[in-house]
Parts: sequence; structure tokens; C-alpha cells
Amino acid sequence: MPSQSSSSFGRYADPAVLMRIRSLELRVKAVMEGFFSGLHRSPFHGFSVEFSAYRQYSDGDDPRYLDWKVAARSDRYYIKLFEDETNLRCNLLVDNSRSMSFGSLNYTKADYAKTLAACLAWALTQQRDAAGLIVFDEDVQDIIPARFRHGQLRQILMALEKAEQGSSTDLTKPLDRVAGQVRKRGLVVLISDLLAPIDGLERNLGYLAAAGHELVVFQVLDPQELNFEFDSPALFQDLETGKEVYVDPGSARKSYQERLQKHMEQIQTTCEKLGAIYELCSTDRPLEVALSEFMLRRQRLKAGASRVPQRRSPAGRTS
Amino acid sequence: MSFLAPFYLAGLAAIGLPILFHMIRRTPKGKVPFSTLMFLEASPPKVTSRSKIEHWLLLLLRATALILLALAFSRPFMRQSEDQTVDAESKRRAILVDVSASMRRDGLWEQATQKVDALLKDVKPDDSVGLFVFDQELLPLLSFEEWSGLQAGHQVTVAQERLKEVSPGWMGTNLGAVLPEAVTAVLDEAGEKTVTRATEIVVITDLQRGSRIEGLQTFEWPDSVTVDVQLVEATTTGNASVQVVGSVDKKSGLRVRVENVANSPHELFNVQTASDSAGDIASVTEQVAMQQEVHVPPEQNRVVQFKDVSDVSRPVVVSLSGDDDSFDNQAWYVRPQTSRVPVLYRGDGESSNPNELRYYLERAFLPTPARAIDFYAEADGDTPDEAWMTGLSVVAKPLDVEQLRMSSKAVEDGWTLIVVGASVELCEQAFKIAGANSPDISEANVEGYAMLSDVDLEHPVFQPFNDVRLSDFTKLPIWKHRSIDGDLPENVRVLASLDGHRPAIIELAHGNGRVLLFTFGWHDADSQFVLSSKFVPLMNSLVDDFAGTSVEPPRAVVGDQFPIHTLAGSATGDMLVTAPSGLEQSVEISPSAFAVLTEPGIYRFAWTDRDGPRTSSIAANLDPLESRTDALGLDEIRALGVPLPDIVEARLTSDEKRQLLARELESRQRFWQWVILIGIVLLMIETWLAGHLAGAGATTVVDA
Repeated sequence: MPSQSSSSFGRYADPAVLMRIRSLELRVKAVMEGFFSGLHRSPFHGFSVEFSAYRQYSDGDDPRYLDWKVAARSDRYYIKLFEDETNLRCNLLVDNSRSMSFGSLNYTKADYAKTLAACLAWALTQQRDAAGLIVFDEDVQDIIPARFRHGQLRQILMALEKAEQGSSTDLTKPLDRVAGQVRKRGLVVLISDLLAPIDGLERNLGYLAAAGHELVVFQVLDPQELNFEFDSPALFQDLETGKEVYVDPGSARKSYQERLQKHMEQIQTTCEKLGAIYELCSTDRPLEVALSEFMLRRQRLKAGASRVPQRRSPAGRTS
Repeated sequence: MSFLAPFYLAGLAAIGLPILFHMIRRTPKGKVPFSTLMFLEASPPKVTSRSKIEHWLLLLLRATALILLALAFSRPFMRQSEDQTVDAESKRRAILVDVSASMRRDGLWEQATQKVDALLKDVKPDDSVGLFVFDQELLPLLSFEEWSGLQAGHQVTVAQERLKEVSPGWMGTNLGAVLPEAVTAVLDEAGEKTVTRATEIVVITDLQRGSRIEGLQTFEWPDSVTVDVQLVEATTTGNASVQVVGSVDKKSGLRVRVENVANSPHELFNVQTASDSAGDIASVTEQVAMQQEVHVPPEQNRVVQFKDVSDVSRPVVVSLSGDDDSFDNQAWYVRPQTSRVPVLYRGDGESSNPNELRYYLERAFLPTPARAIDFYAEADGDTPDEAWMTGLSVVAKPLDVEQLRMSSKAVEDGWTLIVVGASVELCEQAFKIAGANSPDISEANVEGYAMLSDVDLEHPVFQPFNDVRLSDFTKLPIWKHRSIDGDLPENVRVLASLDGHRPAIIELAHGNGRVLLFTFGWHDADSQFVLSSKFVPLMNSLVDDFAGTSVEPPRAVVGDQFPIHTLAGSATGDMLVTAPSGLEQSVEISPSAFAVLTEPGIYRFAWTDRDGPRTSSIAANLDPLESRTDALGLDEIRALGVPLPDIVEARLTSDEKRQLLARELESRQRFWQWVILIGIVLLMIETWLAGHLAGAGATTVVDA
């Protein structure tokens, strides 16, 4: 567990130590400082200044985009809408359901997922790409539209930090929302434990794929969830439903692992079918490893310029 | 061995539990929150594959404790002796027949004897029967011992013969005292054999409302006794009774209370009175003096007044007519004899001078029905000789030597002397009369005035003031008094003090008599005692205490035991008691002797004292409660806890009876208590052993 993981990933920051840093921003910096230098440089930097349309000003709009000349002429406030602000728009979908609050280590899966999301947001902002955030449980809790502008990263970090514990997991709604709202093609990153029935997952991810989005799925799981190494029989309580079941781990372990494996394989198959990148993150793995793994795969995917799904090894054996 | 509640033996199945617990290794330890139960299946508590029992002794103890618990709950008992009872069904039965005055009503006694006959016919050879009659107390006609001593066929005949000899008397009923007495009689010789028998008390009574059942309220009925009340029912319901109220005198005449029972169909009654100069009660009824009609609604009473009573000293008989039952239609009254008490005043003064003590004293004594006062002043010289011997003396002037000697002797013989200590000399003489050395007595120096305090209200003389409203003596100013210093002799009792420390009224006991000394004068110069509200009551109280007339003469009720020495006083010899029926009886006079009043009417007493032959009479009336003839319900008896056989019980089948008997037997044997006790001991051993084994187990783990 923690000690093993830190020894096998010796040169990276130990997640147990990392999670002790309270501030998400500092945590992100600890992970990302040096990690990203020179890894990826966007060839399309700068943002579009191409004017697209006027829209009537409404409360809450950024006054920077007010067209003062029009206001002076007509005494009406209009907002100038631009064609695009950046070339890569990335939406981070972070699961904040109650199942994410499980953690056999000193931190929970939610901590890990938030840090992962924050790292990605930081990286994107560093490359002047637009990053957006959707925090969800069974409903969408918080939305920050993907933008690149000053303060966006801070806003995302704040939203991640303040996100309160939700209830059960339902992937349908957030994915529907993204499909409905994000018209521009971009990157959609789903960070969740995906411990929910996956009936709707394929359909919803399918919509996004069809809309031309590039899909990335991070499945965050606790090592205890993967291995089920409890030793004494006990009443197990479902964190989301509160249901209680008496389980003797000795006898239940085998069937548990088989069922989990089957569930993960289904997710993986779905991802591959849709050309999505699937990454399994056990929470005892250093974040850098998960990130670099993902970066590498994405680059490979881009370089191949192919949408033909690649055959991946099963979860947990990514290295 | 049988069981009262055999279904509890099903609890024996519980011994499977410790065995199961012995086998089960894994028990859930708390709750584990987990992200999802999607992939988990409920697994049953697991039993070790190794089915070996490790602690045989522990298991044995636990199982035994459970077996004992189950046994205790199923209430085991031994059946042998109980079987005998059920088979034989022999009974111990006390038959109680009411012979109180209310049973004189038409037809009741016949019904009662028929019921007794029926009960006696039912008697089985093994039964033990006792026949009793009761009114205010229980009287055996045929005791259990006599019954068992008689020949088998002869018992019933004897009982019937004895019953024929009795008939209802004139007494009141006291079921509250009689029933507990009957229980004692039934259980008295209850040996081992009879314990298991059904014990029953059969009461044959009219159960009229005046049966005094309140006494049953506190009685604890033994479990083994049942009471069967067999009612005799009167054909009539309208009964009224008559009683003389208060005392008869010229002023208020004769007052008679007429009481009607509930549910009475009659409301109009006729009351007649008659009196007899010769005291011969036989002729009284023929001399109707006055009569009145009175209207009394049911359950109410009215008082009728007869004003013109010609001679209050004669016996009076009051008769009532107009109701159904005649047994309580007469009441008698005899005016108690008035005793004459002489009061001797030994002091100066004229009867008509309000500045003299005599003026007040002469007027202070009020006659009561019990006594009249003859007031004599020594100065008048007309005091008869016997007054000197029997009177109450009030001394208000110093006596000469001869008088002192005579008085001292008289006090020793039982005289009471009151000394008004208006001077130091008088006070000293009081001590001399009482045969005591006089302490230092001097004129007290009073600033302003002194007040009486620390009055001994428990003393008979001060009894009339023993009430918060009357015990205030502060309005009696005393300006001058004599002060007694030094230790008082032993025979002195201080009845009141002046301002807390100087004696004001003291009682000096001497021989059979006593001297009461007031250390202050009663009027004018010394105090305002004669003018205070305390003077008259105190003087009358003194006389009553002296003459023994303070207590109102009691009203005699049939059934009372009349103490004859209250009439005869110090006389000796025999007293002839003549009952109203003319029956004569001679009783020796002694403080403990009494005449039992067995019938209503005038009882006459004749005896001889030193003054010659004396006679007196008292009226014995029926117990007024006996006239309340409306019947009580059985529910009222049951409410007092009397174990009447319930209707349900009467319908019990033999199986149910057997069950009842089993319950009784079990409650007597109480094996379950012992079983529980053993169980507790076993559990204690088990706890100790388990603790010991756990300790040993822990040690081995550490060692390993």
C-alpha cells in the first residue's frame, strides 16, 4: 500500500505526503513544477480576435466585452462575441459523489481526483488552452465554462476545493449537459470511480464522441477496492445508499474481484469502441505517473492521427 | 414430578444456543463503510469447519443453567398428596348462622335453619364440619373436635338438635370481627392432613347493611379458605327504627329520632311515648302518654320532640308503629341519677356583697344532668355533717390548729381541699395540711403585673382548656402573689407558673386526697381571677374532677358489658341484676365485674351500701345499626377481599379444578425457587470459569 507504492515510484512525490498539503494550488505546483517543462507546447497559441456577433448585455457579463462605441451611439449595452477564444477547449468532469469519499489510505479518492483535475487544469492553463470544470454527483453541482483568461485556473481550483460531498453517482446528467452545452469540439476528461451501472455510459460517451470531442476517462479506484483485502467479517455499509450487508471477506473476495474485473473490462471495451483514452488510477500511484502515462498515450494517439482504437492491457497494469 | 406450565419446557431447546455459539468463530465486529456494494454478496455467519467443542465444562455449565431456567419456569411440583385431595374431595367446613336481632324478622330464621339442614345433608363421611352462631361474636354450637369425636351417623343429628336450641337474639352484627375469628377457628387445628383439604366458611345471614363489614378491609385472607355467603331474604323491606336522642329534661322534653331504611314502602309512622312512676316497665306500654305522627322518606331520619314530659326522672319507653318489622320498634330511656356535690366555703364574706369572693364562688357552679351543687359557707353555720365528710372545701382564711389537724386527716382520707393563698400564712397552711415542710414563702415583689404561663393542660382540672382557642391565660392580670422559693417537696406537682418560673397553682398529694394551692388571691387586691372567663369553667371542672361526674354516662346498647362498679362505687357484697324479661341474676361487686345486657329494655340493679339498700336502673337499647335492614350486595363483600366463590369458579370442570389445585400445591412447594438458586450458582461458576479460561487463553497467545 502507501509504503509499497512510494517505493516503486521512488522518484515521484509520494501521494500520501502530497495529499497532506491542504491547499490544492500548492499541491498542484508540487506535482507539476518541472514536470511539464517542455513537454508540450501548443502550436496554436494566442486567441482568436475574430468578431462574430453582438449580444445584448445581461447582468453578470464581463464588462470588458462591452462595446462602448455602440453604447455611446445607441445608449444600449451590447457584448461583443468573438469567434473563439482558444484552440483547445478542455472540460474536466469531476465525480464528487459519496462513493468518492472512500479511502483506505490517509486520503480519499475524491482528494486524488480533485488533485488530478487541478493538475490537468494547471497544465492546460500553462499552455494557454481553455479549461472548464463540471463537478457532479447524481446531478451537476458546479459548472465553470471552458475559457482561457486570467483567473480561470484559480476559479477552477476554488471550485474544486469548495466542492461539497455529493450523494450518489449518475453519469448520464453531466454527460448530457456537456453534450448539450459544449458545441465546439474539444477535450472532455471524465474523472470518476465509475462505480455505477454503466448502461448509459456508452450511449452518453457516444454522443460526445459523435460530436467530435476527444474523450479521456480516468477511473480513480482505491487499492482496497481493487484488492478487497479486508480480513474480518463485518457489516459493510454502502456509502451512497446506506444499505448494509454482512460480508465475510474471506469468502466474498474472489467473487468481488471477478465482478469488479468484469465491470472494468466493460468500461474499457466501451472506451475503446469510442476511441476514448481510458486510464486506471489507483490512488496509491503517484499523480505524475498517471499524468505522464496519459500525456504519452495522447501524443501517441495524435501522432498516429488515427481514431482506430488501440488494444490496451487490462487495468492496473499500465506500466 | 409434574409441571404447572409444561410448555415452558420448550425452553430446553435453548441449550442448542451455547453449543452453536461455541461453534461459531466469526462474529461481525462493527460496521465498515465501503464505496459500493455492487460487487458484494451477503455471506451467512460462518461456522468453523472444525466442529470440536473446546471447553466441555463451560458448555456443560451453560447448558445446565439453561435447563434449570426452563425447569424453573415450568414450575415443577410433586403430585402425590394433591391426588388424594382431588379424589376424596373431603372438606373442612364451618357453618356460621346469623342470630343477630335483624334475623327476628318474619321467616328469616326458618330459612336459615332450612339452609343449615340442607348443608348438613350434603356432608360426606370424611368431611369435618363446625357449626357456629354469630352476632357480635362467634359462638360454637358444635366445634370441629366434637364433630370428629361423634359417631359417623350421629354427627348431623347432634348438630340439628343444637341448632334447634338457639334462636335470634337482640345483639348487633359484627361480621368484620366474626369472619376473621371463624378463619382462625377453621385453621386452628389444621394439621398436615387438613392443609390440602378444601376449607370453606359458609355464612348464613341476612347481610343487612348494619353488619359492620368494614373490619374485613384490613384482614388478610389465607389462600386456602373460601367463603360462601348464603343469603336469607326477608319478605318485607320497610323497616323503621326509633331512638331516644340526648337527655330528657323539663326544658327540651323528650327527643326521639325515627329512621327509615332505603327502599322502604312506608313513609308515615306513629310514635308513642309512655312513662311509669313505679318504674315497672311491664305496665309502661299500657299508659300511653303522648303520640305523634311523623313523615320520614326512605333512607332519611327525623327527630320528633315531645315537650310535655311530666316527670323526667321516670323511665320512658317510646314505641313506633307503621312499619313492617317490629323487632326494633321500641326504645327505652332512663335518666341517669343526679349526684349532689356539696361545696364548702371556709372564708369570710356575705352572699350578696360583690366585693367578696363568696359572692362569685356561690354563683360559679352550674348544675348538669349528672350532678347538682349544694353550696355551704362555714360562716353561715348551717353546714350538715355529711357535707363535711363528702364535700369539696375552698379555704380562703387561715385555719386554727384543730381545724388544720382535722383537714389534714380528711385530705389523707381522700378529701380535696382548695386553698386560696391570699396570704403567706394561708400558703404555709396548705403545705401543713398536705403534711409537707413548708418552703420559704414570701410576698412577691411584682412590677406591673404577672401572668399565668406553663399551664399543665394535660391535668384533668385543666382539660376544658386543652384547646388552642381556650388555652390563652394571658388576659388574667395578677398584681400580687406569694413567692415560693427553694426546692418543692416531692409530692408537689406544679400546674401553672407565674411568668415562667414561680409556681402559681400547685397540687400537693397527701394520702388519698390532695390540696390545690393558688399562690394568689382570687379577686380585688390580688388579681382579677373571679372576673376572668377562666373562673367558671375551672370551678366546674374542679367539682367534676372531684365528684367524678365529668364523663357523660354512656348509653347502653344490647350486647354491652355494663361495669356495675360505676353504680355501686365503693360498696361491697352482691348486686341483684334484673333483666327486662324479669330474669334475676346476682353478681358480686368488684371493679372487674359486669352485667351483660342481652335484651333491650330497663335493667334494674339493687345493692346495699353503708347507707342502706340502693337501686338504680339503666336502659339498654338495640344497636341502632341493626335496624338498617336493607341488604348489602355480595359485590360489596367481595370488594373487601372476601374470597367468595365466583360464578366462574362454580362452573369449573373437574380438569380446571385439578389445575387450580395443582397451582395451589405448586405455590406451597415452590420448588422453582430452589431451581433458580442452583441456576444462579452455576452461572456464577460459569462466569468465573469463563474469565479464568479467557485469562489463560490470553497468556498462551502472548507466550506464543
